[in-house]
Amino acid sequence: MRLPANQFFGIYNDTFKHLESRFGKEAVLDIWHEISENYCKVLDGLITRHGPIEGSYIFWDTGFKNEGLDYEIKKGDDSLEIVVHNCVPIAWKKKHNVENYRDYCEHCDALYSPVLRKHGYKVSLVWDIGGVPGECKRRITKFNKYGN
Amino acid sequence: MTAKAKTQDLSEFYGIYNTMFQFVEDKYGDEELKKYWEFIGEKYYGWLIEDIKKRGTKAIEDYWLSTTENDDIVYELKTDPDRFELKIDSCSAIGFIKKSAHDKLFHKYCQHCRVVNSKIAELSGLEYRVDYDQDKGKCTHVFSK
Repeated sequence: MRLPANQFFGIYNDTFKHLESRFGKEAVLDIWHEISENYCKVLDGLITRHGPIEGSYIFWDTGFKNEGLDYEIKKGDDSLEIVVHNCVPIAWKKKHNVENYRDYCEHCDALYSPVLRKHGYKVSLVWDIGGVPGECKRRITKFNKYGN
Repeated sequence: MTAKAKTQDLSEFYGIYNTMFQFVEDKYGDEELKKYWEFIGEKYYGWLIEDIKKRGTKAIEDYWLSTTENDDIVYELKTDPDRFELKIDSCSAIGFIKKSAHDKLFHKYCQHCRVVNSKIAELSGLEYRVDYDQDKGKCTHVFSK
């Protein structure tokens, strides 16, 4: 019986815990990098075809709809803002009594920032908004000429 | 038997499992990969182990059926109180990864089932065996008393 897709949130979470306990936080950062390089090719492809803002919009809007997330997404003038209410992986783990990996929310930035950075854009990500786990805001904007 | 029509597509997660397995073997070696899978079997599936101890093969059947939701897997199931036999004719994980433009199937992908399930069986007092053909995405699993 294969590891099923519908247990992914828990197994993914516990993989980070296991790696950190065996090899330290560096190992978790390394696996996030690997997933970013491999899995985020979809986002990279969309950005290459449609541009950073439209490509990101398509990626997150499609992905969040498929996951059944409660979210808002707004395109601005060369920017994109995404607010997530009740993040599905966080809610799933709570419902199934899987203890959240302490740094779980960092992985979203670790996965997607390198892709956007490659195209000259940055991601600012804030999570646990109002002290509520599963509430986060992501803003994608272009780096200025000084790299900020 | 095929699972019901999908309301949600979670197949991409199989690609991420594939990436994680490859990463652990590449970076830390074969023994660490086995330890990782044993950890999943023992610690992550601790709740299933306890359920099997209480309810036997019915617990495995109920768990299996819960995993077929929103999945393309094709399988046959034969169960009785002493034995759970699952024949998979088309594994959704193997199918997805092989079709994926982004993933190369990890050469030991199917071994994760043997290691994870062996650990679950060991800790719940059952015997377990599996025969698989990774290329074809076919396998047969037997948990028995």
